[in-house]
Amino acid sequence: MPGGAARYESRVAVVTGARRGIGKAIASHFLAQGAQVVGFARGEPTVEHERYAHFALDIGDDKAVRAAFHEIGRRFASLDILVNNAGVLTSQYALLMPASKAREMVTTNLLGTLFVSREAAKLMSRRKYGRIINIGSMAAALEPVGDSVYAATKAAAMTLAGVLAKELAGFNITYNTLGVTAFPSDMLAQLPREKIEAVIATLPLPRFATEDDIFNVVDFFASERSSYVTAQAVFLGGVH
Amino acid sequence: MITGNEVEATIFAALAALNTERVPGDQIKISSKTLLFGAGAQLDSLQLVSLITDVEVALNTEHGLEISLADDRALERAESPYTSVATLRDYVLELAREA
Repeated sequence: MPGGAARYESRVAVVTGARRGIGKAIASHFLAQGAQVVGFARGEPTVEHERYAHFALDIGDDKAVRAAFHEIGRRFASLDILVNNAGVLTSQYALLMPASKAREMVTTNLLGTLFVSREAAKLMSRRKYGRIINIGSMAAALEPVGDSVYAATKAAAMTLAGVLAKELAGFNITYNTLGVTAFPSDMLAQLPREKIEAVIATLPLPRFATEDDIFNVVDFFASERSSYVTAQAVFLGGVH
Repeated sequence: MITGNEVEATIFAALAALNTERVPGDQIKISSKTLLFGAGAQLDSLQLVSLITDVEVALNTEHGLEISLADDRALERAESPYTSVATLRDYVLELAREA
């Protein structure tokens, strides 16, 4: 029933950063539409559902990621969708950025995305079907002051998506990026409100993103019908 | 502990799956000596990736063996473990002993 209440029935989806914010919203959206969802996060689960399984892990730990996907491969017949949402943000002038925080952003936002995508693609390639969606950020395009490393990791993740889209095309796996604008979340709450509002005011569509704005594009990229859509980045709000 | 025959059967199955995507006149001749990588290899780069991935996932799902065939050691060897079916089988057995 594509597009209906059971859009994701019989689909298996992995969502990283599934404890809160956009990741939790997408996991809940998939569950509401019939999917089996596997969530990754560093902490314990905050989603409770009979079709939800959780792995408490750090996506920057490639061994932990590999072990989790080994378990997923044994437990489920297929893996259809991956949403790379997990990310960390430290907003700070580059001149004052602690090396440990910069390294953490590179490890999670870029390398973690690679590790998870790679293991997911191994499972997807066996059935010659997969949809991988990176949750990107307007920071990659707008390059806001204070977000040098975060913006760079998000831009790098888009480049990663473009290359992997080519490498995985032969397996009928698509790989796209949804660039979100400001979405009310714990991550956004770390930033000064006036800074966020100043950035939003510059957008062609100057408002916060809603869950439905995000689901709309995720559903498009995740659709079976989007088999001819890959290596694309769609930004919300008119960001480009 | 997984045996050499079981590993070889897993590799053969992955090669057979690749053959289903090749035309009748271009079938991979499957044996222990089949060359996978380097001079004389019968697989292109995408097929090699597909084979390694297929074997790794099958070893996990069918034999409960959690190994990574694309670890640092595989890339550092003078002779690639991906050179032939036999070298890949032996590399799997080596990793399995350590798992």
